[in-house]
Amino acid sequence: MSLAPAPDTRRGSRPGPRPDARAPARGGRPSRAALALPALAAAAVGLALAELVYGPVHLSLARIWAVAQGQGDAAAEAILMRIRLPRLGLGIAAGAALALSGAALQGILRNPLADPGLIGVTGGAAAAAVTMIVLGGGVIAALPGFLVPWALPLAAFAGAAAVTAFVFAAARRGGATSVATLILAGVAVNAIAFAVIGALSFVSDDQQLRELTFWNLGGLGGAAPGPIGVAAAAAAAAGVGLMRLARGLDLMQLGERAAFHAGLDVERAKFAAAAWSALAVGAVTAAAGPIGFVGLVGPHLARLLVGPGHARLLPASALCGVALVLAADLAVRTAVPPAEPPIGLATSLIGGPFFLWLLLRRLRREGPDA
Amino acid sequence: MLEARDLTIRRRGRLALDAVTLALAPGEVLAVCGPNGAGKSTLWSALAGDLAPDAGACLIDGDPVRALPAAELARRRAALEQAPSLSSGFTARELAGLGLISRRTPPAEAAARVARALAAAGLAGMEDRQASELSGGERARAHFARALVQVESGREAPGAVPGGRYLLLDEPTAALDLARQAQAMRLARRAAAEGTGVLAVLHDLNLAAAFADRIALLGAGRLVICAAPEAALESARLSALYGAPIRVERAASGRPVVIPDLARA
Repeated sequence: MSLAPAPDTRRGSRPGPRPDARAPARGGRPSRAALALPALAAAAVGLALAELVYGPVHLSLARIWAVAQGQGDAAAEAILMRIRLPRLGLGIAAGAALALSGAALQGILRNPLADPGLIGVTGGAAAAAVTMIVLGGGVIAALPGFLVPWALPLAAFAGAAAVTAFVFAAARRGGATSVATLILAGVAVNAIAFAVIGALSFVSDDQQLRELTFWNLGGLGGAAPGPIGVAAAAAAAAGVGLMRLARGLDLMQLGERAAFHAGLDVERAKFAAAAWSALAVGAVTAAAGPIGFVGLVGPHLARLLVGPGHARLLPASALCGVALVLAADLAVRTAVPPAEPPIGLATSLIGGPFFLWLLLRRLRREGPDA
Repeated sequence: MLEARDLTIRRRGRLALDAVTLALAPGEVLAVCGPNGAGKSTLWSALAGDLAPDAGACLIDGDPVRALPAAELARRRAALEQAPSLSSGFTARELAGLGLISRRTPPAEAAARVARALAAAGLAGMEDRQASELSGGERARAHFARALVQVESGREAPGAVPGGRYLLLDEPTAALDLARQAQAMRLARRAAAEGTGVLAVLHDLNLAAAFADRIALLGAGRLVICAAPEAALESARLSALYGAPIRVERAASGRPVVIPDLARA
């Protein structure tokens, strides 16, 4: 494993040859980046509308608009308010939270393969949430009523935080992580999480098993309003918290020592990035189940569009994540109606090959020790 | 003043620095030289705030370096690491812009400052090249520009102690050719002329003799001498310090020129 900090930028998160990077002063990144954010936002809004329109019952935009005006028909209102809006809200929260935490972890670990799913953060959240579902009955019963919706998110956050702390401790040496260490740590954590979830489903009763299976497949449709609200709030808070960290994440690309020399409180920045990521991933996983690869693919697309500066990269990643999750949700809902395959299936179908391609490209370029 | 007072640091059970005392004043260039393992980089790291002293102290304008928050320290001193790295696809302009430590700098002034520093480092016209596509020397100069931007940004910082007073360079010429080495040192001299105290760890004694006001010679963790080049660079002292025969002659300017006697070594 390579223990030394990255010798130069080649180890970094360069998504590939960028023709505009060689262009002289004007043109190139700034104008392209300035266009990219509104374009991404428009794409996300379009997908959000599609999410409201399409489904087993087709709702025209006119009917949706009527409901928004308070003059809609009862059927359309029920479908929108009880099914599609909560689903859309969770989709936005999940996409933004996963992509933001991916971008933040990649920045702070100086490693573009740090995806919350790959390195086990999502798995830790899932294992802890399943533990709460199966063994936490007593705990939940003892909680005061207003805390009950928080039990699952809190458990998932604890699981995510524990894994994040472990990965930081295991994979970081001298201000950088090696790809191999990071992925092996993720493999190990995911194997443990898988075993915990398997063992718990073995001892769970019928009702728990149904809840657990439904949840574990991952999906935007099954969550109650409480967890959705918590996920949305956590995603928004993480967005604000991480945006304040944007310059710190830029400085971290110099390595820890140089970041300190340039005025960054490195330990605080690392803690903040890890804590916001764990919070967002935990809350979203508690509501939607494990959704893989959004934290890997979202930031990569964003980097291609707006470059590596985190002030633009973070919002662009969030928008890419939202677009990815909504597109995946639309795909699974319209593929074989009225059946609804888990959304994680769609994100993994895109993300798995993408990850493999990234990994092979890096290994070929930099050798197995990179 | 940026001072080391009886600075003692142990690393891996070895005494890396043994009661070293020296001071850097705003406006001067101080070169730190000595053989491998003499403690040059340890001294640099301690003054930059990376290492805590085991005994003695590092003071910046009277305050212990390690007691200041990172942001305040960055306003008072910029540091350019040996072999600086970058693990992201920033352009030269974005890389140099990482030295913009004050949020109060208006965007137009910030952009002008970065452009000036890049031009001073000889990178005019390469601002939008990705740092990873630059040559090793060009990349080193882009990092140098980052340090210059930080010094200038520190100067405008408010507060009782004027900021941007010190620039710490750890072998800033290692990746540079002969002409670029002199250019880098001229940039250091210019910063000094504007009131910044520059401390540069240098291997090349001739570069130190040509550009430094004073030279601190370290040997085995101890300060051998800290004096003007004419006084510090003596044939007998250098030969003993490096364990090899070294002659010292005078250039036409009066500055000493160091010549290792390779044939006899």
